[in-house]
Amino acid sequence: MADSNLHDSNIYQTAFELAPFPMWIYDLETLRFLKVNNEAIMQYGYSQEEFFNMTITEVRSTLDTPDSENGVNDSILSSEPYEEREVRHRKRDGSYISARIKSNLIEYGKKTAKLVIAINLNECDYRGEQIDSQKPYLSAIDEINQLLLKTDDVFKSLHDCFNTIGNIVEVDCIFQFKNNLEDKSTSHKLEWHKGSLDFENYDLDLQDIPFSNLTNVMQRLQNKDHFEGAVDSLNSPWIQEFLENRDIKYILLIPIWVREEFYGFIGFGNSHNTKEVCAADFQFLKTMASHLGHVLKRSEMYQDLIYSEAQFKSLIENGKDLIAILDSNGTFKYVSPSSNTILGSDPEVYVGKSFFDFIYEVDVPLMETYLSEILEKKSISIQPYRFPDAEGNWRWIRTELTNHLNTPLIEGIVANTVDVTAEVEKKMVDNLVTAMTLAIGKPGLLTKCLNKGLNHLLQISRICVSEIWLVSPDENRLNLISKSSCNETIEKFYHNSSSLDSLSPGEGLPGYTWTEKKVTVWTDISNDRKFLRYAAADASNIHTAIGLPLLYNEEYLGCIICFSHLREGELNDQINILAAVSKQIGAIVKQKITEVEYRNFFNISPDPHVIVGFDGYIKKCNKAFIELLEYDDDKIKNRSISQFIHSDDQRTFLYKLKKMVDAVDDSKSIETRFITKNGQIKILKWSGTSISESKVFVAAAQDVTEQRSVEENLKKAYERLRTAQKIAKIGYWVKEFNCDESVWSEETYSIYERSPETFTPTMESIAKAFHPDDRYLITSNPSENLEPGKLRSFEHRILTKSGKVKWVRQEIRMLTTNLGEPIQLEGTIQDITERKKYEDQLTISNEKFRLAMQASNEIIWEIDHGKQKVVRGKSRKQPFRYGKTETFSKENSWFSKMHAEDRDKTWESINRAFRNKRKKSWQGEYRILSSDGSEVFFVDRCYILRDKLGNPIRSVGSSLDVTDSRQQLQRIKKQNKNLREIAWLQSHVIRSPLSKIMGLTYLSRELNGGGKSNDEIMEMISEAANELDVVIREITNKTNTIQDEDSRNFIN
Amino acid sequence: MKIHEILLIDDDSVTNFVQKKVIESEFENFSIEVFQNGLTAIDYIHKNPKKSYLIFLDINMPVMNGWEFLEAITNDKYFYNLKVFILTSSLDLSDMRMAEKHQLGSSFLVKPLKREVLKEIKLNYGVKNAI
Repeated sequence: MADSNLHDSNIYQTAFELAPFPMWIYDLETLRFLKVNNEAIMQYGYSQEEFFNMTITEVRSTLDTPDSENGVNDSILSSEPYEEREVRHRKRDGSYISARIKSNLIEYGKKTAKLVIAINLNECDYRGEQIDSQKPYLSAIDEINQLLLKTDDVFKSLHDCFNTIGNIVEVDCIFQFKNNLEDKSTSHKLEWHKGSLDFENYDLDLQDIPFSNLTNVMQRLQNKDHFEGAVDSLNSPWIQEFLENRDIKYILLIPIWVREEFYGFIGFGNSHNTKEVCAADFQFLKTMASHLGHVLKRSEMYQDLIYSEAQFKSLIENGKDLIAILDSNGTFKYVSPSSNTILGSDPEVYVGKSFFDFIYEVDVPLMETYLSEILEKKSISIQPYRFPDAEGNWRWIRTELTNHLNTPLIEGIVANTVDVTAEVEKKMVDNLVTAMTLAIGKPGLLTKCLNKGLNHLLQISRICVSEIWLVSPDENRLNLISKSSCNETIEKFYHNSSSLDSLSPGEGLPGYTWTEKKVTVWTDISNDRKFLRYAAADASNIHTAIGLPLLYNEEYLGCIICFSHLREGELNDQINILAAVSKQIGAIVKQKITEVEYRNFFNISPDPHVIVGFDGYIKKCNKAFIELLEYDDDKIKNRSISQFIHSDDQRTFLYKLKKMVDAVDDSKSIETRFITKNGQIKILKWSGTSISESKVFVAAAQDVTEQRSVEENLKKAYERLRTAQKIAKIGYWVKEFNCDESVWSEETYSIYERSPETFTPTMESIAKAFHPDDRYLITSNPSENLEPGKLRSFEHRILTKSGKVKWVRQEIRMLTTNLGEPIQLEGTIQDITERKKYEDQLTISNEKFRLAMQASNEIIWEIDHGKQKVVRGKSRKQPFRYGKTETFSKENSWFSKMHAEDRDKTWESINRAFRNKRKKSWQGEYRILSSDGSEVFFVDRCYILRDKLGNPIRSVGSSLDVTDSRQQLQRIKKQNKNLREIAWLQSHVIRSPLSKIMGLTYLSRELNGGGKSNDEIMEMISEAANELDVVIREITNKTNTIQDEDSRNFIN
Repeated sequence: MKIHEILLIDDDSVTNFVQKKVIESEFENFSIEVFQNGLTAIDYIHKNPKKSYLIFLDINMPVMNGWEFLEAITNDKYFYNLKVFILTSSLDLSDMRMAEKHQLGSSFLVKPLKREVLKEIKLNYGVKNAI
């Protein structure tokens, strides 16, 4: 009981607290609030504490005082448990609300209280107004719903809806844009104008407008917010233009969201009003926008459905898929009309018949397996199998089986079939081409590789023999290269046609394919004389021959001929495959032929050939390369080519190789030095090409070592010649006989002191360059003065540009044809001005020398030590006869005449000087006995010219006849002796008596005679004087003697 | 220098007479010996080795001329105390040079001998009579 009361109390408490209207309890005696509910607190704004501190009178409006007093007094006084009246209450914020209060008398605690409910009359009024104002909108909504629900024509209904909306909210234009969220663009779809009977056509220029063109608008719409404002406040030129063109001044854009997808937006425009849309209108439009969005979306989906259905119908009827329904035994229950297009047969052909009646025999067992499988599975895919078309051709089809045996209305196995003939055949062709390409492309002999390729063709079941014919290198014949057969047929066939292995164009089927260059099928060849091997075909029971030309870029390489026992009609599919294969293997056959040709050339070529990978490693090389480098084959292959290259050339070679690889460098060749095993240098000039597919560089080289050496020598020789010409001042010139202009070398211009830029050596200009006195040499006809092939020399003068005279020597030769016709003049010109000058000087010098020699007594001699010969010049006096040129020996004419006392020592002396490697000269004196027996005195001097080892080469000397001077010397000596005697006499002998005289006079004067008398002194003086006189006489005599001798000598 | 004797070596008597007189005028109380050639002078010196001599020597003399005398006396120069003056009439430069080169030849005097020359000798060499 207590629990029940408590439970009820809780319920009442909850009901009081959660009541939607303000409720309170106040003390009837004190009029104070005892309890208030949350709604009262919320609506009135007072807190619970504030309520508890207030009386009911404080809440009542002061304007309602009379009522208020009555209200309160009535309440206290009223014995009615229930009261109801309208009052005005003051909220905490000072505003007033009208309320209808309903009160009941209760016991609260131990107090008598009033329970009051206050119903806010303001809200009720507002809601009432609201409801009234919504009536037009609700009516419109109802109308619109009717339009949309009951219509068949969606667009007509939409137009009417827009009409209704437009009238309700008084807008002039409503338009709708649909978004493409993938592209983030929007497109103009619907447009309604006030008074229009139908939608305007959508604007083509307003399709797929990117969202970015309407950034500020789209952002808001994407956030499910609307956009409202004057048209000129829009930040997008295109939409401004769009609206202004429609005379819209104010726009409201509302986004359309359908199932959380931003479907598009709808715009409401006013041309006469720029004020904001009122809230009611806005709400209505917002509701309508959402509603219309769903309608539009649904309408779209409906259109898509209709379209899909039509498509489906179209697919079913006209598609590539064939749809059939089979029962569990494989009998056709239904076949779609597409069997007409796919197989060329009506569905009736198949319905009711077994699937297995049609399938290619070989494929039946597998199909049976699949059928068993599908009974247990939901679906399976069947690999391609063969099925006949209306014409009896086998088509490859692929089927997807789906088990719908338990699906109502189907109750069968649905087979979705696609014709994959082209795909299968293409795959077969591709596989065959790949296999043949691999087989033919393998390294090996041409015939073997082609044979392996042909073997693959025989895998096509109905071909029994295949052979390949190739055009001969001279392109005149077609030769049988290889053949292959799947059984003994080949032996019989070729046994009977072994001689026919080379044909001309047009001859037989191979020749026919050569001339026609197209796939050719000959049937019944055993009876067709055109087929040259008809007899062999008959013997081998071969009926059909298929000729497949092998072409490479329009070039006919040859053909493949395939033979079959079957007729053409049974081979159509095979023929297609073979034709497709033959179209594609032309390239590999060409490559093989080229490869074989190249390999042959590669291997037998005398020039080094090498294939280098892009990595710089040698992949392949020929014998010539190996022999050149003198290494073994295994020491070269797969090694880096740079290890055989001279270290100075490695970098350049690799750089150039890389450039060629990158196809940057289009230079034609690389010249590199290679080092052989023995350290020899070989210069190789490489030419090649890169094959980017194989990543190799194929190169052929030429050993230009000798050539370079010769060139180098030639270059050096030419340089030396140039230098020699320069040093020797020799120029070269040549002139075609019938041409006026000569071709001069650099030195020739230099000799003439002319420049190639300013001087053209024509006959006239050259003649002007000749000294006037020598011009006759050039003006005459050269052929008159020159003998063909013989060299003629001329020395003449030329005038330089500055007028200086130079002497030149020209050597000219005339070249003629075999018939003697002059064709060319060539010559050399040498500046001999200096030589001429020296010659003149030498002439003068020689003359001076000759005169000097004539005037002197010297005999010039020269010894050639190599030949041991002595050459002597002439002497003016020639005191004796001697040999001018004779052997240098002690027994020659010179030494044999030497005084015996002087000969040996002179011979020894001169030879000692010659032997002494440091001695540069020699001098000696000796006597020669002249023919009259008198002695001739010679002073001999020479200078010795030695080689690097100090051995004498030449000695040049002069022998001076000093006989006269020697005699003169003797005389002089004698005279000197006399003179010295005189001087001595003067000094000693004369002075002696004189000093006596001087002493005596001194004695007399200074020492009083020294004890002697004057007479005695005088006597002594006289004796001394006499002595003096004697001496003087002696001197005079001697002087006279000398004078006499001088006179005699002078006369002599 | 203290001198015992003055030697006068000359082959000409007149010259010897004149020179002796002149020497006596300047070297009073000095003993003067006269010799006709170098040999006799050397003999004298050999016999009287302890004396110190002042010698006036002529060049051109018979038997032993002045150069020969000097040559002979040079070998013994450490035994004797000699001062030799060449006194010659020669003006030959070669004689003068020879005299300069010679170890014993102090000076080259040209005849006739004069008192002034003797005074100079006395002064330069401090000649005093040893007796």
